[in-house]
Amino acid sequence: MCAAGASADEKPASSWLPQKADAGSPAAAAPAPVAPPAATGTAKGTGAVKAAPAAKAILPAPPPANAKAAAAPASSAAPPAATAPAAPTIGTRPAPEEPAANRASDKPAVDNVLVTARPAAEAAPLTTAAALSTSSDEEAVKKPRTAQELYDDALTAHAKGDARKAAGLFQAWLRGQARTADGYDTAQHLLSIDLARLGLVHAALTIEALVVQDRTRPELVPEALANLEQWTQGTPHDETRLEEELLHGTDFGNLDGPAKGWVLYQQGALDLKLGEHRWAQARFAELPEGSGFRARAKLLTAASTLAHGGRDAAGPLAVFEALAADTEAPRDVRNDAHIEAARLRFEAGKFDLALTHYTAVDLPELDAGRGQLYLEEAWTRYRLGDGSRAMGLLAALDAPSFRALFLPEKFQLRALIFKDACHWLAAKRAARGLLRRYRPALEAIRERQDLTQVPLIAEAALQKGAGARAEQLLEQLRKERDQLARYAGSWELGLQLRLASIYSLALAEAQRRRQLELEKGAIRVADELLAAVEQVNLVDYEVGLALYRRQRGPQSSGLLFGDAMPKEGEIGFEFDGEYWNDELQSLRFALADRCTSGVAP
Amino acid sequence: MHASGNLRRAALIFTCATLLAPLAAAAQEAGQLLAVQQRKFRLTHELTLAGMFEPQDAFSKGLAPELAYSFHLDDAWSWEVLRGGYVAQFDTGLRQQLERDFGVRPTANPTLQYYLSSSLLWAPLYGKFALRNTRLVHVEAFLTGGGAAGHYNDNANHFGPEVGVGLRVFLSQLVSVRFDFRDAIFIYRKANASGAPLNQAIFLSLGLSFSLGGAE
Repeated sequence: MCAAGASADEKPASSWLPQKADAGSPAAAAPAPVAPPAATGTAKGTGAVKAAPAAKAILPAPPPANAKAAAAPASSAAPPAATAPAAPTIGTRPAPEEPAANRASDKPAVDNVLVTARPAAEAAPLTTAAALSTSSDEEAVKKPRTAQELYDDALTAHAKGDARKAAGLFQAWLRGQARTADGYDTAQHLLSIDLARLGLVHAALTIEALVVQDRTRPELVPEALANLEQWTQGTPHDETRLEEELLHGTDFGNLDGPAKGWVLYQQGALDLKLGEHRWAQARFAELPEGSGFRARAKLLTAASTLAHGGRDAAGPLAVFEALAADTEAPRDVRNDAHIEAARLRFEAGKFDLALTHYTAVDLPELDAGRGQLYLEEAWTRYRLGDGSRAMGLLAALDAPSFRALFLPEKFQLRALIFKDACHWLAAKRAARGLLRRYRPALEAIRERQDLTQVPLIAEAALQKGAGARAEQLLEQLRKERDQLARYAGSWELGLQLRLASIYSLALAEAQRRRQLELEKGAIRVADELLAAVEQVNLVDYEVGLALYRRQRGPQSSGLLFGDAMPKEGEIGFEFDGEYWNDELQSLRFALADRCTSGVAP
Repeated sequence: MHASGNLRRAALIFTCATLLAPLAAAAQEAGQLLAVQQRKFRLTHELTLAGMFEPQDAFSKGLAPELAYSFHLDDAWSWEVLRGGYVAQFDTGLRQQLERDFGVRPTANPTLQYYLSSSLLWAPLYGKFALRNTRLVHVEAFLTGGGAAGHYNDNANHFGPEVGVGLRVFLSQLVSVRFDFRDAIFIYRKANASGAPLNQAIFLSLGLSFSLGGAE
């Protein structure tokens, strides 16, 4: 979800008014990172192979029987010059392996099984790996390959963009190596790139995180971090493991490279969340000039100040408005700034200024975050007396894209508008719409059932904030696990088992977190629902009073419905129940003000 | 008896009230929901390049390049100041066939060489279509009415009224595709060789229109 949407989602809808969301919550205001510099996997891959020949010169000559296989990658792997430069170390071939007897002590217990068998049949696992090279490598299947040849083949496949084959070969090579082996981190790094290319993002993140965590090849770290930034961009991922444990828990020293801003921002954001403002500001001060993360850091700091600074909103408001007007700031930062500024302006009673901010939010028409914004804009327009547009926005919330959103306040607002225009029956019907819509949920609450088992409540609980992120992560992991099954036939057992294990653990953890968020969210939703019911009951009661009150002649409702009809240069399409996406923000409602005409009730 | 009458009346009132309640509610909720948008495509000056096909004459078919300039008074009304084309006539071979196979020599009617017209356009229909649920296509339909002048190959000029319908599909703010169907009646000052006092010409035009300003 885009950050603005996420921010909008975070708003607790508990009162009649659109309240200032937990703007102070760093998580709420934390915008998604900007697109990373274009350090693509392809460039890295080709660069990796390009470096291989240079390294080759210092390697012992391969055995004659393998000469052809060894020469092939070198000659065929020449990448296009334009795609070249990558860290020269990435593709260097690992040093010739030591005899298995020397290596055995370095290896993990599981690998020892393979190592002890190696001298006698060194290529046995490798031959298995070669088998996955399909028909083009029949020759390789026949002739057992050395680890060096395997590595070369993996590099070649990686450079050619054959991620599936390269991943299998890298894992086959890794399985025969000690963690301390030369090139181990490089192979992990390239393996993660291939997995990311195959859409197995979580596995790629997990393995690349190992490269960052181990830091046995420090020169790989900036590029690995850049990959992490790129792969997490807009993709649900394990935030606890990556951002909290890896990024925040690691001291990267003098980090350079494209991911520097991202790392510092993530570290600072978590510092802010933990209340370590001084540390956070120290991190943010190191953010590179011109980086979009500077704007994000300002936004986050202002939100944090607002959350912890009590009622004094002037400072944060000025920051939000400055960021909203900053054309250099990333779009999601500007959106978040607009939303926060709009909420503060609304609370201060400056509805016209709030409206200016709401209308300046730049989101796709059907972005899920739009629903909350439409509702808040409708409240603002209602306060400004623009009943026509307020009702239009409420009608937009009934569009299929937004219908499932948990926005009980829309029933209250609709009822209020009808009430203010002296349409008593319509007001009562609108108020009771809430009870009709959420009847099963309300019954479950009253009967003290397990709220997580009530579909309406469970769905609402996972619609925003941490619940939505937990749900999205679970879906993403399931999707990737299903995708993994597609590759089952083309990989040796080793990689398949490793990835299956990664996904199994991740899914179990994601499921656990989703359940926790669901339980928390269900309580929040139930509270919001009960509060909304109270409000509509109040409106219903007021309508009942007004219905039987003696009419004191025509009185204006204060609401305007006059601009509903199209004017010069405008075109009007009568709404007949069919929602068009481009019309959602243009809906207007024409309603006779019965208070003015004196015909009510 | 009297009590029974009152009861019946009360029952009738109750029934009527029950039946009419939904209507009353509907009447109260008589608000109308409209999608009001800025008109996406607006024209002021328009230049049209088109190809015209004249299918009416059985003995020859006309093809013409056309050029037109229109001035849009507002979104609905516009004046096509001038539309003109030079017609190339293509023999259908019917005349030869009649002479060869049936020994009939049909009357040689004059054919149109070039024409000019000026019309008023009224576009009451403007709407949008969803193209495979991926994009919107805006379309306008219009009626035309005006006068036309034609020069025939017997060196005579004829004048007459012209009416038609058209359709415009907006491709962008600057370019639209325009299809016109027009029916012109050229009135002769004296009857032609076949004795007819007028000649009907149907013009089918398809072309590109370029907005020369005014589009938003």
